Amino acid sequence: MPERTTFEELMTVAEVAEALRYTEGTVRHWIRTGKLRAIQVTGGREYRIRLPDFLAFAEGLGIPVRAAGPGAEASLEDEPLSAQLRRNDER
Amino acid sequence: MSVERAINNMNAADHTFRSALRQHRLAPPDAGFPRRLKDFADACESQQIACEYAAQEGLGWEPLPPARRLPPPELRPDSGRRGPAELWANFDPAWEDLGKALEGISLPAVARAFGELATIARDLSAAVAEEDRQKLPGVQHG
Repeated sequence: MPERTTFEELMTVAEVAEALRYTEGTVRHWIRTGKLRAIQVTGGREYRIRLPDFLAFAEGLGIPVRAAGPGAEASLEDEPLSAQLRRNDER
Repeated sequence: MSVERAINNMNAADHTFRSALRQHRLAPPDAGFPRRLKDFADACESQQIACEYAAQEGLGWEPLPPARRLPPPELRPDSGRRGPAELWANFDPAWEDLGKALEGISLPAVARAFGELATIARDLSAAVAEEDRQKLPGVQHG
């Protein structure tokens, strides 16, 4: 039986691409080549990535990613706020 | 470059702020509490000034991911923290407001939240220092 997951734990290809700052094409390539585990949905035309698979993959890339959400805990001691500054033309 | 200066200011304020948070992490309930509160207030004010300057220079704010961000242990409600309850009743929502601002997109809102926290922490520092002074032998009460 496939591992059960919840809606909140699933990420789209676009969300993975945005989080890791890669293109969606690169993410689909990772999935097709088996580097990133994904679930095929809508008759195999689309993918969803489970959050634990995403976190493990990001860690393998050397990209530190922390699970966040209203229930996650974080400490401002560990979060350099100056990194949040951005030039307004960056968006 | 003013933008570089704004980023440097923010880096320096950030360093001070995180040092102030660390002071409150495992601190004993000693006479240094008012000083740590004052350091925290100063650090918040530095953040406020750095954020205001950065906003003036046209910089924006990238939201922090949503999360539960508790204050350091010494400043939490269950820590037996000393000082007037009414001031702590202002501190707790001000800390929450800072968290909300950090998860938002408005740098001026982040600055305002730091400013509010600075004011409350400074009042708390003064109040706790006064309580300590009143407890010293030889100080007349009433």
